[in-house]
Amino acid sequence: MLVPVRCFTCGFPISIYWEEYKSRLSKGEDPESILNSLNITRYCCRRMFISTFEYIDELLQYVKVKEKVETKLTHSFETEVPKKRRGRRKIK
Amino acid sequence: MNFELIEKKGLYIKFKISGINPQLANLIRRVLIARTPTLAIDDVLIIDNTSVMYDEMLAHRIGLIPIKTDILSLKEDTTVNFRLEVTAEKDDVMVYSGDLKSLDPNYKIAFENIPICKLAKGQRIFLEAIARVKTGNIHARFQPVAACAYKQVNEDTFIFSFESTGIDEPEKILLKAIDVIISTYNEINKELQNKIKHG
Repeated sequence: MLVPVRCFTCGFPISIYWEEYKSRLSKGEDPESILNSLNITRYCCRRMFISTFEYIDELLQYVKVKEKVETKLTHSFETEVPKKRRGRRKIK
Repeated sequence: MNFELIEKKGLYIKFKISGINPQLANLIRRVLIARTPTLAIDDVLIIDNTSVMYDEMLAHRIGLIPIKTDILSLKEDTTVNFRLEVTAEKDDVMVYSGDLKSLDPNYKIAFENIPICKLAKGQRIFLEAIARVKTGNIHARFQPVAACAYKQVNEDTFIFSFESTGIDEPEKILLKAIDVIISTYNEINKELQNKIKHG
């Protein structure tokens, strides 16, 4: 979902470097050189960066779609409210 | 016994101890990992959570965030309350560990740029967290060190290396671990002397 707060193996809070890693990666830098310059030497911590996939943005897309659909539904429902009947029907 | 500092780089420390045996070296390592008291978030009271993350997952992430403390003067019964209140009003908002505000000015979060959660427009997180002092044998979040290990280079020489998780300077953590060992043995010594005196 999001980057894990700590490394699964050694427990170092690797997520403190995540924002920098992501921004430098988007500029086209090589992951190896970023991790070396951030001084992440252990391979347990290095795999945390390389193998993380953030899918929270995709989940947020569902939230937005749901919101849109709900507003549409309530809107259409409001327009189709049946008219009030005038007076009571006589029962024969 | 001889202590020699080899390298210290930020949170990382490497040192050599000579004149000890493997048992003693392992004692130091194990006390560092599992018996050094550390402050970490223990309870999370979730008042409102409309984010895409489950309450449990949110609490787990918050628990793993290191808290900056002075480990040498840390008391066993310390409790610190934290509060986090974020509402995404206009656009998507990333919630960082820096949003977790301490209600005690002596303690604060060690790193302010840890991502906790992402909120879509209209979502809200409101929670309170209680930090307590416990040891690493209970949960990994109470562990003050990361990747603590030693290497035997000689019959009586050991090279230790570990990294602090950000709660304090690594040499202070080592000092605290040795304090824990000394106080434990002092207690045994006291009990034993009492037994000998009074039978």
